Amino acid sequence: MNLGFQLVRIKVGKKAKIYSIQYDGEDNHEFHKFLTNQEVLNHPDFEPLRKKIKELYDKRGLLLQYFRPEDELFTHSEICRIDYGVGRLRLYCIRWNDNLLILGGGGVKSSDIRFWQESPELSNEARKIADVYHRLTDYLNETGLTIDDLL
Amino acid sequence: MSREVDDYFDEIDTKIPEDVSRLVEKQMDIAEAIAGAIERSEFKTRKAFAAAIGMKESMLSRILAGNVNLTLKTITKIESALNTDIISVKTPKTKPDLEGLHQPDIESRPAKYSSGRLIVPSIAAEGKTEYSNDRKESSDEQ
Repeated sequence: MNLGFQLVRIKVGKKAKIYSIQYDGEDNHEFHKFLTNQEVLNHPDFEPLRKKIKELYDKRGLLLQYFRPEDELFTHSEICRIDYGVGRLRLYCIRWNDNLLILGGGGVKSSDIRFWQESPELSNEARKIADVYHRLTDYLNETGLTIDDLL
Repeated sequence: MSREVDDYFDEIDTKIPEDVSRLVEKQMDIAEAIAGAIERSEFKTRKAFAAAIGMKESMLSRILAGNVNLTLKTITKIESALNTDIISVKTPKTKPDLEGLHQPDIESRPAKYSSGRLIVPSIAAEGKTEYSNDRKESSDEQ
């Protein structure tokens, strides 16, 4: 079984490890795409969000309260988002356990839409992170490996 | 299976403005303090706590995620409901050192600095000793 992606180490902090997802055949991982998205970079919540991520991996750990579910699409609490402020800037992730966070992509929920499903970009990113989660869990179940074997 | 690439965060860390950094830290500190206080309280769930203070559960969720720039009014409302302090304010130690206020031998005391201002001993009209600062106005203007 081919996962179709690799887990790329981003940071090993004092409290948690941060990974991202790099799809086969692509040059960059999903978090890199997020960090190089001009709309994301220009958003006022971008810097607070980066600080929040740093706080998580270096100081506080992956406390559940900092991760928010994305409505009905995700029935697994591990699939969630990190945001800041009113949640216009969203970064999707998999909080695999207390020590491992897998960052996906994200984007900006513009003020003229009410639901994230109305944004093709966010919908795409949300579904991608959910798909990664399911592929990973299926893969681990089938192979008998653990997540640590993939890191 | 995994591939180690690079470390964006080391570069990123240096670019976060100090005020943003402090704001996020304090918001997260407060979020954790509230979460801990709710857990220790008589409220069984966060939902019950939100209802008790007339707050939407989604708002409480945002607060606990460290996403909200809370007003003092909201913080004190939460503190009252939980019967605990969420934040405390350090008493500034910038008052002039009044030790020896009534000591008569003030002339032997050296001039002092407090809060960056030169504080010099003098005698008040009633004969009590106090510290005054003749240069205050001029130094404030600078």
